[in-house]
Amino acid sequence: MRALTVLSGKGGVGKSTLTASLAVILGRENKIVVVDCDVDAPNLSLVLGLKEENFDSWEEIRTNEKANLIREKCKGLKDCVKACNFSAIQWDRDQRLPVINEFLCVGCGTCIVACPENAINFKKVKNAKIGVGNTTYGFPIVTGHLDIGESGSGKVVNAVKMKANEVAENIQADLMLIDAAAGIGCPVIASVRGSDYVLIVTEPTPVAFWDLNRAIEVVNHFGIPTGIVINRWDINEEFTDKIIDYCKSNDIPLLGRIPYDTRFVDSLVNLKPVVIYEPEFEKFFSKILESLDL
Amino acid sequence: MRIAVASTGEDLGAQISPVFGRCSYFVFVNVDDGEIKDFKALKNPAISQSGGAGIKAAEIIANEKADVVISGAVGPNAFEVLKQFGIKVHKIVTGTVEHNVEFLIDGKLEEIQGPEAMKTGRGMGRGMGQRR
Amino acid sequence: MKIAITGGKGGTGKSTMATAISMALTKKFRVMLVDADVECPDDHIILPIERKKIKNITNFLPEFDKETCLKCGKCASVCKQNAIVYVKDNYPLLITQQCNGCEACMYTCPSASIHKDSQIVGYIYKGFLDEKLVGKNVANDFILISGEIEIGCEATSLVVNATKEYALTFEDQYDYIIIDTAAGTHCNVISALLDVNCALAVTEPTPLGCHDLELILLLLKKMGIKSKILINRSNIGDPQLVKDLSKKYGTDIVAEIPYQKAILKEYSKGAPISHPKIQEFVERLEDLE
Repeated sequence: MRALTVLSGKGGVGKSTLTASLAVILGRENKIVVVDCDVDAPNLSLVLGLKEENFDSWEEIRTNEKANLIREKCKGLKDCVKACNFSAIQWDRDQRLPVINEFLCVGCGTCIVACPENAINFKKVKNAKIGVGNTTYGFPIVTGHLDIGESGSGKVVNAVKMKANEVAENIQADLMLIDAAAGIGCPVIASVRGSDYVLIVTEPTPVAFWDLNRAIEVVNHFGIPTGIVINRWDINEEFTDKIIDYCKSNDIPLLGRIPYDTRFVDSLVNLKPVVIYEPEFEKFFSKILESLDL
Repeated sequence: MRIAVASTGEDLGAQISPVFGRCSYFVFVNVDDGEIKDFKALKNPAISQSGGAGIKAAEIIANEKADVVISGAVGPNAFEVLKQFGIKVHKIVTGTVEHNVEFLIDGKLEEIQGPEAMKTGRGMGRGMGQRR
Repeated sequence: MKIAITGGKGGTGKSTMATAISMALTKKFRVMLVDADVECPDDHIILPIERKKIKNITNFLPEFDKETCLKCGKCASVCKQNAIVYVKDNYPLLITQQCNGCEACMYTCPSASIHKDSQIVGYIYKGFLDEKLVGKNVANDFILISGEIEIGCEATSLVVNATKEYALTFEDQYDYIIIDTAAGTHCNVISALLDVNCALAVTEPTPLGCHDLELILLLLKKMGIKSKILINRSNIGDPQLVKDLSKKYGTDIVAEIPYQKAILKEYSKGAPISHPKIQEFVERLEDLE
């Protein structure tokens, strides 16, 4: 089974739109699993017309541990406050106790090691849920959803991928399509790690191009083959040419380009993959799949 | 020679695992004079690691004093750990643990020089357009 | 006054609005724009600014003293990041990229053999507008502080915090501090939102935009931050979706900026946008307080 990750660097350039339509076409002839690794704001299932309440199952997961004070053991030594490098422990003068800020605590355990009285331990925190659902297009989707205000999105992505592997094994899938988050931080890194191919979506604007460069650097670190798709290519044809030149000089294949059209927005508003909403657009996505050598 | 094999099961007849950090088992095979002498299986504790599983797996393999690893994709960090401890990495072929070990003994398993060399070419692979 | 521009969904126009609002404000006020989208900072691309790097952001990295190291492996056992590899009878091996600088290893070492080293995890940039383009008055009253994470690094929150801390040392010199956050709702956004007076959630009136708007409104509520909604591309989709959320969370909609292809073209050339509705909104900003 192979894994293809779709990322972009810049948000809003069309990752989910692209992933959904590629999945619909691939799903006709192959057994595939689609994975939404944009865990703090997952909306790929919506693009595929599947609402959270219609998923088959949701499972709570705890990938996070946080520091937990055992009040009766605390002798007010403040070693924990000094030890914390994430500003997550403040001293409460009235109570003469440390106060752990759960928003900032990363669960490193330094305070636990630093406390001579063993007055702090770890507690597992429910920080996310993983859902498995079936789309009406003949393939399952696995979605991760980080709880509001929780951290550790990279670890949640890892857990989502593990679940997706399970689902893929059950249906004997040939291919996993992973929709990554925006940016290049830990959830994106976790979405890329171990993939066989990374497809980067961009658009012809200076902002997206700058982010594209950063995204390529991340992918190069993993030595994974990459290709680029230019979305809304005709909003600035000059810039599109610039991106094409950039691809040529850096030996990165241009897999395809998609024009600007209000029907793309209409399809999202109607919660349908664009190749279903407007079948004449299928040619753009088929061309991308052809270039991918599938 | 002590060989660590990323595996889906706990014996020589188990299918090889295409993943490294989160494979279900590692099977350690001792080979002497070109023959398999004995083996032991270890359930991979790194499977439940939420991050750095590959590094953890590499640490386990180094502690087990393996000389060679047979695996699918190994990430850059894990690869560096194995390299630091002088452990070579060879690429799997489809089949069982035993099959892969025998291929290695016969010099038929490709050695991987670095994480970049894991991926060759730009395409995803052939024949994906048709249902198998 | 510190105002965060955020939104949940990527591509709704946070940076577009942050830069546009900043430009509208500089006509009358002194403005600091903090680009806290440290993974992909874009404000210096939208505004005609040449950034200058002024500071490296570093994080703790352990350095092992081989002369006193007992090879006990305790450091590896407390490292939650799997950044220290311990093989029996060997010195510990550090995987730099995994290290988040928590110092647990240093605290735990029984022979005090771990010392403080450092690694660069990001950078802080400063930028000013070109006087020739915007005039001396505006140029003098505006500054961009831009944070940027080193590629491949995962210490995003740390870089956001360091950028904000640096920016806020000049707090008193400016009337408005506009903080452009990243997309999403995870730790780097949380760090950017801490201690702001108000957050402006930028959304679009589509099911996807509203799905993510709800998440950011929940986060802002959890953090106890006063928030307002700005609808971008207000003439596409269904504004009722946003109005329903506005009612549900008691969060006012303060501006609606329609989509216009001309605006998109300007943006695609890499220029800040301007619109009478943004000017209008800026004029009512003091009411937000």
